[in-house]
Amino acid sequence: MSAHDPSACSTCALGEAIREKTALFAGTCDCLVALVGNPNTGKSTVFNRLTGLRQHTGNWPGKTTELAEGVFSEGGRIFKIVDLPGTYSLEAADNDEQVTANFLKKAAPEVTVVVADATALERNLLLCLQVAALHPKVIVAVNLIDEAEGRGIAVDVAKLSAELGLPVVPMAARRGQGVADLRRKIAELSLAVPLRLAPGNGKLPDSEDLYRRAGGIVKACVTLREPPEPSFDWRAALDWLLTSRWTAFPVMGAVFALVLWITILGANVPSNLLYGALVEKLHPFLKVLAEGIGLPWWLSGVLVDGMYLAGAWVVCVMLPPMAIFFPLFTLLEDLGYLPRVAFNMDGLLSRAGAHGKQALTMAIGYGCNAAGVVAARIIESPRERLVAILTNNFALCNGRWPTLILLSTLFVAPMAPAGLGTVFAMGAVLAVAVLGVALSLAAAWILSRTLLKGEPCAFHLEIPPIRRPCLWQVLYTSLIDRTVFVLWRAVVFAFPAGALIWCVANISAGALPLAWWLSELLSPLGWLMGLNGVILLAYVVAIPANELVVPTILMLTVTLGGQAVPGGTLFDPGKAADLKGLLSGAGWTSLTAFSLMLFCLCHNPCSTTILTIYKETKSVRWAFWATAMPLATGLVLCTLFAALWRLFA
Amino acid sequence: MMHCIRERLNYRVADGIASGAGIAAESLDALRPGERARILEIAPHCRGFERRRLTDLGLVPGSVVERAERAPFGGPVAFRLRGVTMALRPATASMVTVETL
Repeated sequence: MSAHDPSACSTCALGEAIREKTALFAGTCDCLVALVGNPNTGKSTVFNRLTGLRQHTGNWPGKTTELAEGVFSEGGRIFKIVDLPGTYSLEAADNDEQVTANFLKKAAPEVTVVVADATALERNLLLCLQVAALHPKVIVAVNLIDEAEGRGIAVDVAKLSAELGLPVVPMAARRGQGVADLRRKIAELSLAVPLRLAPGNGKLPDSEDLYRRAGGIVKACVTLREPPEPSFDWRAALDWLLTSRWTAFPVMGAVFALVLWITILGANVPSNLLYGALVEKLHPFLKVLAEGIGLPWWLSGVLVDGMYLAGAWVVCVMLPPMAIFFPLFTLLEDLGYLPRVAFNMDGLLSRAGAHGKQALTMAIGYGCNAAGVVAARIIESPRERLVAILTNNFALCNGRWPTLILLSTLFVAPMAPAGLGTVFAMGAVLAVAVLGVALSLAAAWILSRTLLKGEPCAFHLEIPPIRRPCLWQVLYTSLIDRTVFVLWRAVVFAFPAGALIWCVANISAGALPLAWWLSELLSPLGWLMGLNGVILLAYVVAIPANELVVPTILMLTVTLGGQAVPGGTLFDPGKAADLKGLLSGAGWTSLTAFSLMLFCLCHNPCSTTILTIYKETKSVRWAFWATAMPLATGLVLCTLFAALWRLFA
Repeated sequence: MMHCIRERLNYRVADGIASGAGIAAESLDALRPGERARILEIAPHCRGFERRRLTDLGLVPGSVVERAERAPFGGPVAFRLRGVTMALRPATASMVTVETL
């Protein structure tokens, strides 16, 4: 961001850059600045504009939420700025608001910047007045001033400043307007001797009185003029299309299907390219290299065939879909569509005891469950947030779609009448996805009546106006916040799993590989569920990523089946000439395939997701339930299905 | 909150009495789309967290709200208030008494 900002470039000499970096990581700074504001005021945009890429998430003592912090320098001094969670008021009502209130009280920032939305100034002034009542050095950044002008709302900044007795900076942070001015004002104010003292008793004035004051201030400073009548109000039309009784659901279905379609199709080409480079080219090269430097076979096996191959595999299959899905999703978020989805879905979800915003965490779960779990932060009330976290695994993640599509193509398509194979295959995949939605609603319903009994929350949802998305920021947030985060965790887990998978397949006990003994051990349970021991073993060892399950199944099948194909390393389904023949040879039937499709939907989350659930809930208990619940569902469903199948087929 | 919902029926009766006294009072969720109203009070049985949240959102006596869209399947009702569109579940909205303008 800073690259677009001339003022930042002119001052960022090397020495200053080094000081900034030190400040960011060592925690030294000349002045601590807090950034507060109502949700949906563009506070994060202001933060990004102020700090550019000089930011990271910091852990502040006693906080449950990680806070983003960044630095900028102005006038030769380093300012550290902390982005506090969006809040309506300092009278702490929920967790996020407590974080903000506590931070302002305990960390005692020197300057507090309140970001206010110019299009809804009256509501935003409540927080301004509350902060001003507690802190002596407050700046009001009136953001979205361009949007307000477009809607015929004119804010008299000088008068507002006089009425509030605080410096006011008009901003259009998306375009970078007012950023330099805000930096300068922060620097000035930090050096100034406070002219007025904040009332010392630390008590907040009554909200109703503050609203009365806010109303008076707005009357004095804001003038409304009739906006130039547009020939066609596209915002209102779009809003109607997205939320009206008859169009809301079809539009939602279409948008979601389109996003998934683009993701699955669009990921193919880059996935193949990466596969060609990392698996087909680099892997044999590393193998030769390992032999060249004289590594023993088992060490080169563990390192190259095990760890490297699993890591590379995860990158190939995960990176492209995520790098497409998450930006598309963030685009919808930036457009303002996602709150409307929550609005549309709340009626259904509330009956299951869930929150409307769970529709969004589920939708993100279709990209990656770990990201879906993190996204549950947007649900303010703890009970509903846990419901969303615990049921997220029923949303089919990116790693499971290819498994379903493969099985469906191999086993369902041939059962269809001629010419309808693809339709049947896709129908079966869709049926599994729909079953997933039904199961997550059922699970939410049951949880709300058992483990998570409690009163439904005071639901409120702010619906922001539809906005033109800010493309650069979409890419930045989605790639940094979601894609890299998820990929990093998955790769970290893939290394030990790769080593384990290799060992299981290549280390022998007696005359037979370890995998044989283990799969024999699991095979009675496998039979009961309509699966086999090899599949269950693959699910155990490939826990780091669902993407690894099919290659592991194939590898184990080949290794244990004594087939003419060389085994012992992960196996690409696309590379097998007669995949169905291979599987049938290993005893697979239609029952195996169908049961596996069910188990693919209902099994424990991958280790990345489990760890994320633990980190988000800070509770081993909830991580356990999130793991056990879908697994138990899968055991029961598959066993029932297999029993019925054997009875009737 | 469940408690609030249970009391909703009684509350409706109380509404009727209030209207009888000459004030055209009704609850917020009874407004028709596009209708504007001024907030009279938040029901006394709505307390603590929930009451504060409504106050923080700007639902204080004297504020003017305009009813907007309603979500399908008994979902939330949207209102415009101080330039912001806000959705509340019907059970919550029913705890706010308004007079139509």
